[in-house]
Amino acid sequence: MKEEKRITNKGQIIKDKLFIYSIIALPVIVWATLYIGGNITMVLTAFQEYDPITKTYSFVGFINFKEFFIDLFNEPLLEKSAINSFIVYGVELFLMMPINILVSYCIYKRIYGAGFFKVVLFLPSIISGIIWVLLFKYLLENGVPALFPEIKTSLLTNDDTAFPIMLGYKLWLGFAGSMILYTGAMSKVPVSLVEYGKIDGLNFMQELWHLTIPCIFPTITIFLVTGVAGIFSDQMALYSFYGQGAPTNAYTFGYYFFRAVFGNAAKPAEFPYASAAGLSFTLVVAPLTLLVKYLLEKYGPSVEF
Amino acid sequence: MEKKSVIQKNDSHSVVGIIATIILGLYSLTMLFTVAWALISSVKGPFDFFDHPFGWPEEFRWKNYITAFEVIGYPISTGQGYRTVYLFEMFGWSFLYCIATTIITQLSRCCCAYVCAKFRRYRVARLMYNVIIIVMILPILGNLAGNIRLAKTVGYYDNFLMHLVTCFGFTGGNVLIYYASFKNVSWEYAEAAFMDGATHYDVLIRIMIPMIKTSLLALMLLEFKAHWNDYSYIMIYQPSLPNLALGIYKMQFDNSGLASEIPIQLAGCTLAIMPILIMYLVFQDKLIGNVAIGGLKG
Repeated sequence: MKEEKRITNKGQIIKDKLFIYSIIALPVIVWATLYIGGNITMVLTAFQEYDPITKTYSFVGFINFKEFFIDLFNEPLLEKSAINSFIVYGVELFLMMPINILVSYCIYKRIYGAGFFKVVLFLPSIISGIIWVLLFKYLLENGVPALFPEIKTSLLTNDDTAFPIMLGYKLWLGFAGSMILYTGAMSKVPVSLVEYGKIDGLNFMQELWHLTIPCIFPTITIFLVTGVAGIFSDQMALYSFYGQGAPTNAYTFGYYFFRAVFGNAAKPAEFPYASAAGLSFTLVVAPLTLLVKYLLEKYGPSVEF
Repeated sequence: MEKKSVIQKNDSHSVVGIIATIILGLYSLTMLFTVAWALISSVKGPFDFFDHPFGWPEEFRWKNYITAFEVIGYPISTGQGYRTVYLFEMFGWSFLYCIATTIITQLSRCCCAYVCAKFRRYRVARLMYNVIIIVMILPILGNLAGNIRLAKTVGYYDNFLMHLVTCFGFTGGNVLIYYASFKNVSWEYAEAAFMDGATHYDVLIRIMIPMIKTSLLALMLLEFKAHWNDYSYIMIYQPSLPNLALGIYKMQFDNSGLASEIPIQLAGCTLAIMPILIMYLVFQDKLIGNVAIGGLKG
């Protein structure tokens, strides 16, 4: 009997494994080709240079890195991109994320008109980013001069106003960002916990701070951890607004490198430099991200329900 | 459930709740105003639009919508020259691209998440889950150049069928949502089915996937929406198959002809919004409150 069971288990293991491998084989092969292959290609490209005559790449050692670090500390455009990127990250972390959580909490708590807000606040996520860009752009460029004739220049192309306008646009459109995930997490908070909170006399905001946020902290952690990379990759819809020609004062790292690799200004000759920059950023961001994750897990609230 | 509503209602009607209602109401107004402004402007004549950007149309020019179909185009290389893809064809590509990509992307991730959630006793499932977490946490920046080179080498650059193959995968945030959903489904259903002679495939297709159909539907809708709205992937990897979003992106830089008229461009925008807006209004209850992600613990 015992032997039979053992054989049956063995048979079961084979069946299980056949099932598992039949499901995962293609996704794993494709992932390995694209993800691992793409990243290996990036690393190799970072150490190469492109010859436009023969249209081939050849190894040149650390030249691209050297060039990138010289530019990073001397090129005004990169310096501006760095400052803007950190400002954008700060706004996202300290302003947008709390607003997003608060808005989601209001929807979860079904404030007056929650059903209506649920529909309207999700519009920025439903309607294409490029369409919002166009609506915002045309409204700003045609509506503002009609309302304020004293404004003579376009706020979008003016070097002094472009970046604040881009930040404002990001805030406006991201007001209820990630509402689906936050409300989804909030809806999983046990009713009994909310009831205990009520009995303990927690009011609207106290419940958010002492009960809801600790309960949804794993979801918040995901945004905090994955958000670190945004410092170097967020282009703030600049490409959608301006294509290749964004005002230099509005540049971010994300836009600078996207523009270098893709678009009219891009040439395969730019690939090695952009890859070297990306690799350098990765070497900074990857440990930083892991550190953030470690700190959040160690010192963040730990709730199980 | 009713009890929960009572708990929520009691404190949502506090002073803070009312202030929040006012703030969200004002914000919602800005959203609705922008959309309404675009709708009204889309039926104006060009001079009417420039003279009275906030006024009611002097004459409703519904033909702007027909003109949008005729003039909004995206030039593509055919090998022997160039041809222009117009809005109607872009709609077709958008639907084909979004439907095929969504089905493959989400089903492959859903099935892999099932393996991770329900076969953790096998090392391969645990390894896969850890890879999902690591890939999600570990940012790799600046790999666009490498990916473009790889796409051209492997052959999925500007090749729709090869693009569909690249949709298979097992990583991404959605996998964690599926994983969390499958974790909540009891394995006892599967055991009962096995006793009735069901195979693993029967259990997956007939029991497990239907049990998480709310999450699956919500994520499929989100995936569809994301592809419908994304122009950058098509611009970079599939430039010969322009979708609506790419056509709209390119349209803003047109500076001659009818396609450069803002009311016609806004008519194009309205047309592009419609399918996704209808989909959202039909399914909005399935989207909000039905998607929850787990943590990042490997």
